Amino acid sequence: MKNHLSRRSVLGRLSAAVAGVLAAPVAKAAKAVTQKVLVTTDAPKDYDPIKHKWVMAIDANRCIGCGFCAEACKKENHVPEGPYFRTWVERYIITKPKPGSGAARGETLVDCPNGGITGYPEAPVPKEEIQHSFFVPKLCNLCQHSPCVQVCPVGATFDAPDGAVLIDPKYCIGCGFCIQACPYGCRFLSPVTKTAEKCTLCYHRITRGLKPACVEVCPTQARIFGDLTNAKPEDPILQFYQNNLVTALKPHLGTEPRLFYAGIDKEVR
Amino acid sequence: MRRLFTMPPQLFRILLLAIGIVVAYSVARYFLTPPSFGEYGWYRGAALMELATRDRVYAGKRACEECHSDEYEKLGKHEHKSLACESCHGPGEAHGKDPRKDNIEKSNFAVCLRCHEANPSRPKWHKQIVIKNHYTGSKCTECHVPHSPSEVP
Amino acid sequence: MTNDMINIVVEVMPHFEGYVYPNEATQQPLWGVLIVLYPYITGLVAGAFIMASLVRVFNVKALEPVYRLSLLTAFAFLLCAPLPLLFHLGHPERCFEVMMTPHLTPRWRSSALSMRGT
Repeated sequence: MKNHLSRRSVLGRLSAAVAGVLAAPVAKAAKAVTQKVLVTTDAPKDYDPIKHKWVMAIDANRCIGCGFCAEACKKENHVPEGPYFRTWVERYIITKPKPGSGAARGETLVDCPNGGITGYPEAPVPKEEIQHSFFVPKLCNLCQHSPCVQVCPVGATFDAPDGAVLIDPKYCIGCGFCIQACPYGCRFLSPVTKTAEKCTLCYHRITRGLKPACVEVCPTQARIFGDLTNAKPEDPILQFYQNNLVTALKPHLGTEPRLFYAGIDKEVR
Repeated sequence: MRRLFTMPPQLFRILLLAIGIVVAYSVARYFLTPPSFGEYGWYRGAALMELATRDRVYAGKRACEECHSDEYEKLGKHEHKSLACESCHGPGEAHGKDPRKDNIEKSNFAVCLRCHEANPSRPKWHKQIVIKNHYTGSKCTECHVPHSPSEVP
Repeated sequence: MTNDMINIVVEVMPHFEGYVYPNEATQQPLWGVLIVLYPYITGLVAGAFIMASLVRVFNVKALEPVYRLSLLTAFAFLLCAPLPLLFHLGHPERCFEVMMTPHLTPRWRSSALSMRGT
């Protein structure tokens, strides 16, 4: 066998070795360049998501159905015009049972005209036939086992470490899987951004020490908001948990919502 | 070394192609995954700060106190103390940055009725009126002072 | 004539019984006919490919005249198959994200979506 150590082969192997050694830093530099073209941010990191745990609670006994919350949310978050709501208020009317039927209650009527933003029209049944009637504000239920987060194919929607369930608008591909998956109907596909959108607990407000817009404008404190990690005992959210028996919506689905309701009926879905 | 190449050439080429695809995929994935992905979980960590740095439209009740401390104090003493200024006067961030008369709403008849119109679904402790029995004009402020509702003007 | 047509349209438009969440009461469904087209086209691809393979792999001489056409059909439709899926996305240009950061959770369907992407 001839010895194949010619000059060409030695130079070839040497250059291959050098390329191998330089590959790692060159690859890193190339990656930095390509990723500048992709998604980046220059936002300062003075807020630590690990140190907060935001939660909202609803006291439906106090809701008067004015719709200020839904209107404020639309304005604050630039929600598109039309049937798109990050939060809305539903009206439940439980009628009296038919006399002699032996039933405890009549039928339940639910309506939500334009999300409750412009208030509510006359009730569809006369006042004498109403056994109970109440308003229920609805929003993202902040599930611990959120189905929406599980089904996202790219990881654009996620559970933030501080309790909110958020959508990354620069990463979402707009497939609509999360919208189908949410059992509480709180997501929608925005026709403006063509991505999914939902209640973010006004993340841009709560990280600056403000309250979400809906909590801010509620005239009767039906919406209670707080930070469970840094709550003092006289905080409204701790008072709420202390003083109320609460329910969660659709507990049979196993989503473990963190949004609790006080004062709703079994008919609320 | 020679024994490896005793496999049929077409099989060897397919194997090489498969390995090539895997390598190409890994390289593409290395370059095309966004920088902060995986920081807190299966998502872009930078998204948190991007969402947190959006502009506000509502300013918050405290922001109104800076210039309108009289009304703020008056409001805080009476029945409407649970209300925010922006519930009735609309979004205030633009007004706070550039205080003018035309970028905040003065509030009107319709706003009062939004909360106080009688509706069987409203709780009984909430003060409600049937407007046609109560008043036929167009300004609630003829008889009521919104910042201190029980006061008579 | 127009009055009757309007009546028909009003009846055909989404008529919900019972209560529907406001976000879900949209005129158009989220996943419409575009999603359905994908399995239809892949079905065509599979069928055409089977016909071609019957000729060469299983030596079915009777199908020899359609061998070339079925192979071409399979390939042509395969190229078109991901297009309806791409067009239904809100952001088709971000489709590569499914392959770069596929979300593989216990939910088999999301993994299936990622695998379908690849």
